[in-house]
Order: sequence, then C-alpha cells, then structure tokens
Amino acid sequence: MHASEILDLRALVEDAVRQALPSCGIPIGEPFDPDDAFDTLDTTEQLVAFMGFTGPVLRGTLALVAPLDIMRGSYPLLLKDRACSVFDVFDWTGEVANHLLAKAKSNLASRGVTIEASTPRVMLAQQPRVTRSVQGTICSTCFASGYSWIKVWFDAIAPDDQPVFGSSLAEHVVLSAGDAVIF
Amino acid sequence: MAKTILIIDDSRTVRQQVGIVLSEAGYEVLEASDGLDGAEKIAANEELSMVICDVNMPRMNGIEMVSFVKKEPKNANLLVLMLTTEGQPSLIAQAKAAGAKGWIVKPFKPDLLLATVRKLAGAP
Repeated sequence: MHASEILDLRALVEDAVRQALPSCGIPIGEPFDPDDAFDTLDTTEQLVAFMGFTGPVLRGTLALVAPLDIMRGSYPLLLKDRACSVFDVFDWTGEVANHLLAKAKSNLASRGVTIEASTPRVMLAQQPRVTRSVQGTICSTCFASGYSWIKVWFDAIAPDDQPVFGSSLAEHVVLSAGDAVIF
Repeated sequence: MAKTILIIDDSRTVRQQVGIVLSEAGYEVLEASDGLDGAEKIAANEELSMVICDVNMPRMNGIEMVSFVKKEPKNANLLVLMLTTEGQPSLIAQAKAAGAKGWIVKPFKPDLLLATVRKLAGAP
C-alpha cells in the first residue's frame, strides 16, 4: 500500500469515527496519534471491540478501545431506566463497533473499495496495548472523549502491486443513520 | 388480539430498543438472535404480522434469511423490514430482490420506526 493510500484510508476511517460515534451518543474531540496516549498509565477498565473485514483488495481488522464508563454513559437512553449489566454494555460496544465499521464500509464503497465485515467480539481489559502488525499497513487514530479517549485501530493490508482505491461510483447514494425506505 | 412482530438481531441491546418501541405501541414482540434462529421462529409462528431483521449476523445473515424463508409459499406475503447499520444501494437492492419491504438505517428514530411499522403492518 502506498503512503498516499494510507493517508486517504486514515482520513476515511477518521471521517467514519466522527460520524458514527456521535450518532451513538459518544461525543469526541479532534483525533491524535494513539502513540501519544501509550505513555500514560491508564488503569481504568477498557472495552475492546474487534471486527474483521475482507474484500477483493483490502482486508484487516477494526479495533475500538473505549473506557467502560464512556460506553456505559452512552448506553441508549431508551433503555437506561432498565437494569444495565456490564454484559449489556459489552453488547452495546459491539453494536457501536458495528456502526463504525458500517460507516467505514460506506466511505470505502464511495471510493470503489468493497469489504465484508465479521460480527463483533468484545473483551474487557485493563491497560490494553495493540501492537502494529506490519509497519505501514496500519491506520490508527485516537479521539478525546470527556476526560479520557477512545482509540480506533484500522489494520489494513492490500497487495503492493495494485491500487487500493478504484473509481468512484457516480450513482453511489448511501442511506444515513435514521433514514428509511419502503419498497 | 395484538399483532405479533419478530425482531431478529444479534445485539440484545437493539432487540430491547425495538421491543420497547413496539410493545409500548401495543404490538406483541418475539425475539431471535440470528438469521437461523429467526428462520426457525418464523416456521414455528404462523401468526406473525411482520419481521424486523438485521443484516450482519452470525450463522445466517439477514438477506440470506429473507431469501430462505421466502422460498416457502406460506411466507410469500410475510412483511420483512430490514433494520441495519448498512446503507449501501447494492445491499438494499439485494434485500428488495429477496422480498424485503423496507429498509431503515441504525441508529433508528423510534417515531420513524413505528411509523414505518404501522404503514406496512397496520395498527396493532
């Protein structure tokens, strides 16, 4: 993957984060490099949601890392009056990762890149660290949220001998959150 | 007797969200946790007025589930509304071809979901 493609990919993912997380009730600030956050010893409990994806050109993994308290605070208003166990928040975190990857998938499709996603897997961890699998193939970003931050890793691998992005689809009109269509 | 709607989604949170909206409006609600579970519940419940179905689920995805159940002649008129994070035209076209009657992108607005259900399935 070329450096310019990595930059474009990162911009697409950051755009997806900016759209998907606030629509799920999670306010975020401007992105910064997660490496800047590595040095801080954060002992709060973190939820880590993973989703795999694959396509004709691009394949990889999305990881969403967020403090348990932020995810509990964003649990849907409709359900907040009811008992909310930590497993409900696990489930909600997986759904947020699903929203995020769906948005990234739409953004990629508008650039001629198709991917199919797995279902999410969520874990609870303290001080999680994510290693860079192969230098240059990872798109990673971190967004401030309240007094903490949410990290998003988008590991993406593509063959070096073919371009990642195809031609834009002129007729590509994607429905957005809350849109409805009756056939 | 109230109309019964089956909600198929692998997220318990989403099933609860949709279930609250529908049950408060007077519908009876059943739940299934993936496409295969949903197909089994459709086969076991002949009085379903509507199915609300996610797309990206384990074991059998939502569009595969719609195609599968629509092969049964008795399900030819079963109303299916897709409720998913996806919004791509190609997937929407696949769902329409499989026999779905509508598509809503999550996160959903409760009023819009209810209005769509009422338009397709009628009052509870």
